[in-house]
Amino acid sequence: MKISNEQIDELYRFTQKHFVDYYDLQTELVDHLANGIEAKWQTNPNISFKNALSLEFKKFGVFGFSEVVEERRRMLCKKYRGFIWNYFKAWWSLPKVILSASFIYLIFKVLNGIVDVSMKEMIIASFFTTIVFLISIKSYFFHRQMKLRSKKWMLQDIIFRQLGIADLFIIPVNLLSVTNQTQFLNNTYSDLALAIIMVQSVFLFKIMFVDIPQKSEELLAQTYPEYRMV
Amino acid sequence: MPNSKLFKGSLSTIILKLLDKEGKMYGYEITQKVKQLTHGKLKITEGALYPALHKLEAEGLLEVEVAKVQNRLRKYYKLTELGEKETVNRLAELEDFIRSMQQLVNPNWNIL
Repeated sequence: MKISNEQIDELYRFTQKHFVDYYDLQTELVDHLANGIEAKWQTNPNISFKNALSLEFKKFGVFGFSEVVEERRRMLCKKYRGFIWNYFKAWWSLPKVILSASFIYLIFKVLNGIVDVSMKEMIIASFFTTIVFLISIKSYFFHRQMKLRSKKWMLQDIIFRQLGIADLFIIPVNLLSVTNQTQFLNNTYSDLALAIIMVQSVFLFKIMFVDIPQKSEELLAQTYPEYRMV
Repeated sequence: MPNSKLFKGSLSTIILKLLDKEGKMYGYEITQKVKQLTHGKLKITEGALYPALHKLEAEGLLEVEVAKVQNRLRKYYKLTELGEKETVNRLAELEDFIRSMQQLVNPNWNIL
């Protein structure tokens, strides 16, 4: 006896009901459960689909599919961080490194030239607030884009949700509000440190919110051989 | 297996060895093959198998192929070039470990 198309659909619903939201993982688990049920039917043709499914599901242990989902997420997050790192490295290799260093030097000169601490503070705060604002807009559109998709892929979810790394951009704004600004901002070394942080922040924003999402189709097709099949 | 803790640390090596021998396999097939080869003494639990497979894939030791079989998609795993090299290393490590354990629990016993 073989699993019917309707039963395959039921298995997809079953995995979703057990907190597997992603098509890539669902597909692998559906095939596994279907194989197990078909094997059960070979030895006991009278067992119902539901009972056979229940027995197969029990083999995943008390946590059900959660361990499988968690480990997969951990691995794909690592992969995503690898994408970010590769893009990031490119900004510090020739020829781009000349451009990166020029940006840092330019911002350093501007910051170093401002004597008025409150003005400097305002520029820095505006810079990071703008980035946080742009992140909110991008995140809103990504969220809408994700909602329109009928199939969810785990890597796609990670790419469009950015692992919560976006929150890091708020740290400099918070730091400004708790540090002794006059002492901190009237310092050549802090100007240099701020210039480096500001340039890296722009790179990180571009990589996470522009470059990687733009390449997402290609990255998904590389990760999932079935991506172009469905 | 009565004590699954002993077996857990070797799971990835077992997977690599099986794939080295069989070429490509899918998850369910791996569980059944291990059961068959060990006459039911070793049972890979599903909750441990897929995390191990995904980890090996993330490490670049396995690559995947997807094929439509009957009315569903099936994900096959196979060794990459790096995976083939790593299989040799891990098997050597495992044999070394077995030898050391044997010396501990039964000093008169010897494997070549």
